[in-house]
Amino acid sequence: MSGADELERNCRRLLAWYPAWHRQVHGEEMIGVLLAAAPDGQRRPGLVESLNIIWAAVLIRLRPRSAAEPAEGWRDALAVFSVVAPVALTCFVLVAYWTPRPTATASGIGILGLGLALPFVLLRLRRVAAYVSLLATALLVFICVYLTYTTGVGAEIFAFPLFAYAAETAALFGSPGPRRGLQILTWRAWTLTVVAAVAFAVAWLALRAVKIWYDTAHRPFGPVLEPRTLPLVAGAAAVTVLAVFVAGVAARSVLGRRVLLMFAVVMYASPINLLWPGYHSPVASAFLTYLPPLAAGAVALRAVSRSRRRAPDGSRPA
Amino acid sequence: VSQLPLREPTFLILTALAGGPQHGYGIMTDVAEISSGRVRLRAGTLYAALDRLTTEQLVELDREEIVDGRLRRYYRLTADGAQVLAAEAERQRVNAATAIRRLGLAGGQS
Repeated sequence: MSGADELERNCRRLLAWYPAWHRQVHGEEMIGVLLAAAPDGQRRPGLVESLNIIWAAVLIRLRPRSAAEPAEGWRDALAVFSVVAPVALTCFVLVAYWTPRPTATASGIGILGLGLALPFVLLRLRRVAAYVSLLATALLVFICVYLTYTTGVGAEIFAFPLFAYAAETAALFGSPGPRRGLQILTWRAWTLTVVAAVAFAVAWLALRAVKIWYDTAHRPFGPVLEPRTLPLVAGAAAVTVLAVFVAGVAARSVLGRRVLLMFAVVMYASPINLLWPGYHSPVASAFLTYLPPLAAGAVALRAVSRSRRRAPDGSRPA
Repeated sequence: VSQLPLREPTFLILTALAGGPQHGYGIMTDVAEISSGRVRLRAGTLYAALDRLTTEQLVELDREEIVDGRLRRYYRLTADGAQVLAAEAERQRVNAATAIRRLGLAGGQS
């Protein structure tokens, strides 16, 4: 590798300190300036130059939005969600529902249905993926209603997969779709997604185990912390901290916060069902499970329609 | 003008662009020349300033060129940018004139 090539490679590595949008806008011209300003034979940016770049990049990350920074509307957030959700939720289910249990299997198999749309999502076939997702949602609603009326199974146990299907369907119909989502997503975002999904799943497994132990073994006498339970609680706490950290990293951007909010709506039912199972009060549990996410969905729909009206180029999803 | 007083690098960048549109490296060399080599802008500082000045609409994109396979983006002063630069230059001129007068350095007053 020649000296100039090595210098360019080192300059590009240095520019990784900048946010992606800044590299997209100024990256190539900054490389040109850095190379033009470098003395002959230099193989890496000087110390002062490097510190100057790092400092400027940190300041840009800390300051409010720049005019050059592309707008991150809800449609972009939905486009990212449409790609990330099937991958993350499939990872989550594979880990969290590893142990077969009656209710876990129902919602676990249910959520795995999202995997049906995944190939079309990855092939960037927005419309096909959207209709597959819509069909899966309709089937799940039918199964939910049928089982609720025929077997008396609480409707709330289907909430998690139902919300996931509905959110994915809405994201595919209401955004430019996977093509745009894959454009926005970086390898770091993919790593965060998989780590977060697995971390949440492990935390979820541990919390379920603790809850089952609490409910079955010690109910008549109140909870007694046994030595064998302690590692489980510690593990759950540690993985929860990791999951919260990953969520914190994702929440640094507007788009990341919007995607996290959508995941929060999808996941909302799980802790509610864990803390307040339907067998105590089926009607109250169903209301508590379904009403808040439905209200959030209505607010999101309004936000998306406003975002569509404000689209500067007047473009519509492909 | 709310931007006043300008920091020296900002003042020098706007002064460099007052002579006509320039690309990044051109601005860097021009600033070094205007300041007699005293101010040497680094790439990080320059693009942070250009980004801010673009947001404040004092500077805008003039054109893009590909030279030797590399992107060159030319920037120019906007009407607002010229107004701010003129106001800053006048502010500095008044201050300098006052200082010179009080020091008794002005021609014919010694």
